[in-house]
Amino acid sequence: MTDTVASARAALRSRARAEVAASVIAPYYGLDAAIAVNPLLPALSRGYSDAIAHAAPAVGARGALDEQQYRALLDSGRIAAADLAAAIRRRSSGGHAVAAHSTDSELVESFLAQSAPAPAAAPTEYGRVDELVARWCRAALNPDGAAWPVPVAELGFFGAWRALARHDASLPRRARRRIAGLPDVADRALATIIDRLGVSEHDELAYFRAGLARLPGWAAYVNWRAMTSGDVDIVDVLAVRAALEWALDEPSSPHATRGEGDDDEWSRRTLIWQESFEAAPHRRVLEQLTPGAHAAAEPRAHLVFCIDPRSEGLRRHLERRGSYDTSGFAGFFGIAALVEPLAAMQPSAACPVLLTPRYRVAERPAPGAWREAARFVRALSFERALRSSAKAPDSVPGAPLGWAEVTGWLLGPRSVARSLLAGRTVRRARPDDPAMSVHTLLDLDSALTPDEQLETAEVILRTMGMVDSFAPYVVFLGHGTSTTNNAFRTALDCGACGGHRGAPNARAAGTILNTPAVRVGLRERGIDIPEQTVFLAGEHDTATDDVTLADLHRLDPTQRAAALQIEGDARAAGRDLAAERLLELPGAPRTTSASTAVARRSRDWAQVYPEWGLARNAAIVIGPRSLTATADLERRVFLHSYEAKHDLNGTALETILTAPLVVAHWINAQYYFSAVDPVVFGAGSKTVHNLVAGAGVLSGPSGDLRLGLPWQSIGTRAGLHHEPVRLLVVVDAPRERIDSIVSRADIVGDLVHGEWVTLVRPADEPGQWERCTAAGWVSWSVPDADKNRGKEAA
Amino acid sequence: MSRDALTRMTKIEIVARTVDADAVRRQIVAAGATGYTSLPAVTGLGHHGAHEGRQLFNDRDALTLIITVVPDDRADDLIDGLRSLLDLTAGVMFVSETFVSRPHYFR
Repeated sequence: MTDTVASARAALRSRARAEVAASVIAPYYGLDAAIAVNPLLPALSRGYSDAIAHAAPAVGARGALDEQQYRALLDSGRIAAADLAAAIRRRSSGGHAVAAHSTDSELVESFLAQSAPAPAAAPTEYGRVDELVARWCRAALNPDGAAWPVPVAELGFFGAWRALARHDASLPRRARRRIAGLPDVADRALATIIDRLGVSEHDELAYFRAGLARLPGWAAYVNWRAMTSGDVDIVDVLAVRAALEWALDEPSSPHATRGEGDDDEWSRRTLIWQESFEAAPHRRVLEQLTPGAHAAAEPRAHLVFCIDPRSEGLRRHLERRGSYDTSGFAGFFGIAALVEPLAAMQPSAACPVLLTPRYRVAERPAPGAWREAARFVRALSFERALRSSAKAPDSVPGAPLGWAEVTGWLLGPRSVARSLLAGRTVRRARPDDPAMSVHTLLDLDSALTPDEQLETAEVILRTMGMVDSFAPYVVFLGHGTSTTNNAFRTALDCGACGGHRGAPNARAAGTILNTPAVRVGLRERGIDIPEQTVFLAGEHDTATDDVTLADLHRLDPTQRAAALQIEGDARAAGRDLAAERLLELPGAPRTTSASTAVARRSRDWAQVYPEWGLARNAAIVIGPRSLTATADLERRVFLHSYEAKHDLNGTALETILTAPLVVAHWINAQYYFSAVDPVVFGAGSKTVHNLVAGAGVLSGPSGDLRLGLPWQSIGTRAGLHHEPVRLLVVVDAPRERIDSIVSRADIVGDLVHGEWVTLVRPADEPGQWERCTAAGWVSWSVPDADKNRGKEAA
Repeated sequence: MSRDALTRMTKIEIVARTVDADAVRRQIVAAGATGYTSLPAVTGLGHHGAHEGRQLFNDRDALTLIITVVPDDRADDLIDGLRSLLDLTAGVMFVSETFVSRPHYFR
């Protein structure tokens, strides 16, 4: 150990290793736009098997259900013995070859007689250093909520900590002296401490990884801040941690991992269990699909929904009500924009996080509606000011006590009334809501040139395969949620719109496609939209299943009457859907009508289950609606429309596989990991959440930021509601076209060959399926459904 | 104009996965470089086969080219730091001498 300060070169080396150490932790986007991400995203290219055996234990987590849980599922009948035997046969090779004549029961019996120890996970108990680092993260990353001024803006994350810690009386004098002697630049300090702690270059990466694994939530949030505002990065966090460990003489030891080959047997067994667990839900999808079926002709209207599984239910109920066609498309409808709703303080990125917004669209009052719009904005501003004043004392130490004394007589009865009425109050608009109640328009001409509008229109239509046979009314239906007192609200809004409501994107897409100049350009490019076809826009509220169409004031009386009929039918379908959903919602009343019951839940500030979101998602189907038209997919399937015959060069399929599929996988993986390890990958119970501004939640007063989904998104007191299964991907496209994309696009190759998803297509023989694997296409079937059906979980 | 009137410096070019590009840029800034140029969605053929540009709805699954110019006395530290990064992530680095007309921009 020396007292010298590390050189610039050593600092840059340490920085490089810190960056690599942090690269195993996926960024966490915070609660303002809660985006689902595979928490093991950085390990994607290593494949599912490797990620659950190594990347998950590295952050102290479990990557799959444990053997006991799988055995219990077998005992309960949820995993069918025949499905388990089929998975054993599929995974039998080399030293695990099974005799061809073995019966199912022999295979299962032999399999159950063995076991393999799970990979050792890094310890997750908090020590003093963890607590101090977590406390500083909370103060520095949310300085408005800190009890005293934090000079992060002036000195940076590490510099501000060093400036305060040297005077922190809770630290021993010796520790303060040591901290004061450190360089004030994070990477230089980090390299200096590494040298003083005697960590060798060889061990540096493992040391950093062990440090980050102690608080993966804050590390994930800092990764996101580094990507976006850039005001902090992982070197800062590691420098604070290392400085505390050195100053307090409490160095952490790297998590001892086993060798790469030690977990092979555990991985093999887990893959067998997992495949047998997935067989039942995947079979339920495949056995209902009808490749080669023809679509009904001459619909009254064609509604385009988001691919979100929650749309599947509404589409199904709507199609039963009359001559409606529906299709699915990523819910941002190709509008990669920063959207600024009328009363919002700032614009927000209303597109998938895979995309950088390319333009900014502002909502403006429609001609003649200025006064009405001004009233709307004033009312929301007044409410915002009132709310902000009421919450202001929260950030001043001691003030909430006095504030409660002063205002308790006023706010107390209001709270009691809110609790007793439980959802019977009127819902107030949010400032970032699109102003559906006021006549407005989206200013697209300021955002996009005529050529860009034409380009956007063509991409939307070709990617959906909607290039001919237009219905008289085409409706883009985005979605959002209305819930109260819900920190995870944005996780229930549209993920394709960056965790925002989908109406603005739907309205923008509709506006572009109604523009006469765009239609002329489209005609020249081979897409002839009939003059009488009108594009409409609206929104499906997934908490209440209400449907609202927007901008009806712009229609003539005939068009408006037709639009109102569509809206009426969609609302009726929504009521049917609410009745279906209500059966699954915990504690739902059976005495009131379903639509009233779900609406009350959405307004009840004590309701922790306003809706189930995307729980139980299990598959994505990429193909024409005729493939799924007769199926009841139980809101478990993402549906993306695709017509192979309109996409001869494969551009649309490449777009779908490289973006909507990736997003669907991220969502699926977030639910999967939140369910298999709710402690590390989940956010814990909503009932003990403590909000840290827009960053996230803590369970209790301090500790690590909780990642993933809260327990109320995946389970009840009875156990898991979500089944942690990987996504089945059904693609109705030629084999060569899929092959070409899988080999060309790394992200798709990683998902398919890494077995994060099971990609199948209809085989040439009717009724058969084939699966895309790293070794090529193989025939894919799940055992005979009648004999081997595993009981679905409740 | 001949090169005599210009100032010799070191040009460093890195082709990295877009998801790793931020780490490269932070390394450049931490080494004291005064700037860099970032070209998203570069295409080409290399060790891992052909790389397409940006997909229509996915900016992140692509390669990024980052170019920086630093005085020679600062180059070795940066090269060393970038090698430490690239040893553990995908990406390639090209180092060459270059001549600049406004040296004070780079110091």
